[in-house]
Amino acid sequence: MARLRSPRDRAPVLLLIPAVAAAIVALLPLWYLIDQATSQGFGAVWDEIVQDRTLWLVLRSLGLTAVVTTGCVVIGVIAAVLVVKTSLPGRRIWHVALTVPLAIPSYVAAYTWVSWRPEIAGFGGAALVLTLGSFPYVYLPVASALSRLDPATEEVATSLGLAPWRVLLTVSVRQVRPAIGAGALLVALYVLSDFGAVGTMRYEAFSWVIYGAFRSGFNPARAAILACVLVAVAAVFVAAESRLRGRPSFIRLGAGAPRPQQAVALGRATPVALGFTTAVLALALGFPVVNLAIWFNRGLSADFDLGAIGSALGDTLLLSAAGALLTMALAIPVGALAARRRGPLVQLVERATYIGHGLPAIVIALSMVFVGVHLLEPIYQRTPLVALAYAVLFLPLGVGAVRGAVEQSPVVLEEVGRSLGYSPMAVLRRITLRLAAPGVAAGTALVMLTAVKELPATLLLHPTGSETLAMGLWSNTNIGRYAAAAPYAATLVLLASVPTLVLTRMSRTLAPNDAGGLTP
Amino acid sequence: MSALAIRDLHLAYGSTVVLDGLDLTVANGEVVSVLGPSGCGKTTLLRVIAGFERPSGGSVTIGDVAVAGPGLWVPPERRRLGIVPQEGALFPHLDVGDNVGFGLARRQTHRDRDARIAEALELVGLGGYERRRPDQLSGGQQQRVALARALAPEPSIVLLDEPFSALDSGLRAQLRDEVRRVLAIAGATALIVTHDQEEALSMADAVAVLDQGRVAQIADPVTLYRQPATLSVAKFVGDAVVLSGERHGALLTTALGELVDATPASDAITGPVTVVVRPEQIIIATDTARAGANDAATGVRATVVCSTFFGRDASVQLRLADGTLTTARFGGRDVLVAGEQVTVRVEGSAVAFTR
Repeated sequence: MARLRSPRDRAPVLLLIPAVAAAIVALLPLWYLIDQATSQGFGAVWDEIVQDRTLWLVLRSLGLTAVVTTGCVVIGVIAAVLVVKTSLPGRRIWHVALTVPLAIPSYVAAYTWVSWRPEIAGFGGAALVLTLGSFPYVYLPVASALSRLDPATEEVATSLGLAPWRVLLTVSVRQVRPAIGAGALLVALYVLSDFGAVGTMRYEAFSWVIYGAFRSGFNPARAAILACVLVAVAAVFVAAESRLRGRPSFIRLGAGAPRPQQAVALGRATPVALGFTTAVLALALGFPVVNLAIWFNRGLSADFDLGAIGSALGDTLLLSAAGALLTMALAIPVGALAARRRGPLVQLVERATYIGHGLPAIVIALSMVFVGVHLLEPIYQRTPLVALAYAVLFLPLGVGAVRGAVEQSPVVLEEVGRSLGYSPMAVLRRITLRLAAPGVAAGTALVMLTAVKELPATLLLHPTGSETLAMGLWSNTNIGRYAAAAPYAATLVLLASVPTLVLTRMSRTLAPNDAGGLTP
Repeated sequence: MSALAIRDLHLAYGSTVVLDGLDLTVANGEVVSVLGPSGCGKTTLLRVIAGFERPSGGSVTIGDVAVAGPGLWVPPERRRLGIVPQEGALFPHLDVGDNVGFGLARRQTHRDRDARIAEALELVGLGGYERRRPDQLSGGQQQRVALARALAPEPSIVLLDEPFSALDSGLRAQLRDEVRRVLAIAGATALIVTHDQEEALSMADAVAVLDQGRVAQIADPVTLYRQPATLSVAKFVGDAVVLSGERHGALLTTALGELVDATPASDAITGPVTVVVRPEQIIIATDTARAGANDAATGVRATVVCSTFFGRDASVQLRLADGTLTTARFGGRDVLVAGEQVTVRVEGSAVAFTR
């Protein structure tokens, strides 16, 4: 019997208060950003926006976004079709391998390219690195939509006399257009938010210019206004993405699992197909790893400072662990509420904590500087403020993990607990969280390992005197000390590959939109 | 003092009315089943009593404590009742003993608690199962642990929500007897929600039939089956043969002949009525059987339309003299064939509803 819900007992206040606090923490930076941007009046804001250099900045960013998105759609769709719908040899292995580039932070990939040919810096280098790093955002949804297609439609088309390749293009690929659109928007949002690749390649896109405005004598108002413009542009993509995500990406009538996909025989085209996937992986994965190994080897004979790297690793783990614990402390009440209660307040709180999902990291980093200067002076450039910035950035990841884990524990268990004499908070502690504990622990690990590779917020807010792995790589790359940068990059790649493993194991409990994350 | 008293209960989700002026009283130690088609509001009623839903009107009193009423709502944890959900819903992170002991007051000593757990498990026939994990138990055992968990804190009333629906039919009948026995030994007051008529009739002291958000009739199983208060109750509880007829005092004239009204109206009203008899009341006699028995010609003539064989008996569709179609059970060794002429009569009394 369908169970309608609404007039149930209300959310416990002891859960609601920390959840609202988490939402306020998530929204605080944006408030200070707008406050800073408008500090010299709206006239100044308008003057800044209508300048030619601002227009060019928007166009440069959008140009990069357009080129990278196009490249990712081409690579991602071809790869997905080859892996899911054809007789490509070793399809399972390709499927896993094609998602691995997501694990390499964009500034690490950019470092391996710019250290090979420094003249690659600029538009070309940024576009190359971002395309090779983010095509999996298209590949994954398209491959999954293709594999869920009902083969019956394709069989009907074949029976109507279409050749297999025509069927693929006219029937299969057309049906997964929503998945292609969703993937493309994810890429666009990622490119707009990326700091590492455009920074390393010194391409004057939003993130890099905002960082420059912050660095060079710190013109806070200009940096804040540009950040607001970036938010406005990103908001368009976020809105489009969430609208697309609401719709089903495929249509299949009737019950039961669809039959397995029928593979189009590649025949003599097999070498061409294999050549394509091999080339993509060679550029996206092979080149960075090999070049990193070469520089690492050179570094061994040159100035290899083990002590510095050890202390950078320590600083990195300390900051990311503090960030992960704070994130989860804020995420648990929000996730537990969102999984169990409906209502405008709960919905508002959950949406607010997703702000880190849509806002570019550089914007949140810059906003946290303003929060630090104006509100939390005592912890400015100290560990707690970095942890707070990580919490704002990674709350979506944490809330998603908690929510998914809590949703897996049946409501009826909580009802039995209530009828046996326990208050809502006692039931949460003794039943719900006990059952959700593995998922929450995995979420904590995921947040921590994602925080390890965070760059922009760490650069702007790091405690005085400390240096993380990402910062070590960044500063050495910027002054052309590529050999010295290699050990930092290698350690980061090793650490960064862990969340990918965790993610593939957790993919069943996490909401799909949390996979991968959007922080460079 | 009754164990449970519900007065004029209302509950609506938006414009969907689920409970619409429901009244129900359960006496101490009584086992009452709530029977109704899906969507009649029976699960919602249980959830309101347990405190998982707030009624929009009316009152609920458990023992002598009002738990829901105008401006009053006692949360589930302070209602002192036990619930047994559909699939047991044992806590997967606790062993059987801790499941059963979950609701026992923490101030009890370990020895008291362990003794009470052992006692409750013994009661449901699972003595010594304390250290088993829920996933090591069969479906029936899980359901019995769930019952022990609900009974352990000695609640004032136990609510069972379709407790056997997840089990296969053999196990179901066995567990039904078992639960009935356990509830009797424990002297527990219980409310069992079910859509299964057999379950409702066989387990309870009284059955409340829910229809459109209110209690259409509450009665002991025999009365409910033999003297249903409304036509819809008659149709819902058991199979019913529905005929149109005329009432003349206590006599009912129908296509099946003159029948006796089981609940004759106090005054000798006459007029059109709808008459209900149970298929097993209709006795079919073949012409050869009647000739052999030298039977007097009682009953009316009918033609066999078709016969569906079920093994121990057959369901026969008959066309009566006036063209009315009716169903009857036929348990004889003969096989009826379509077109055969038979004589039918009604055994016992019928129920009539004024049209």
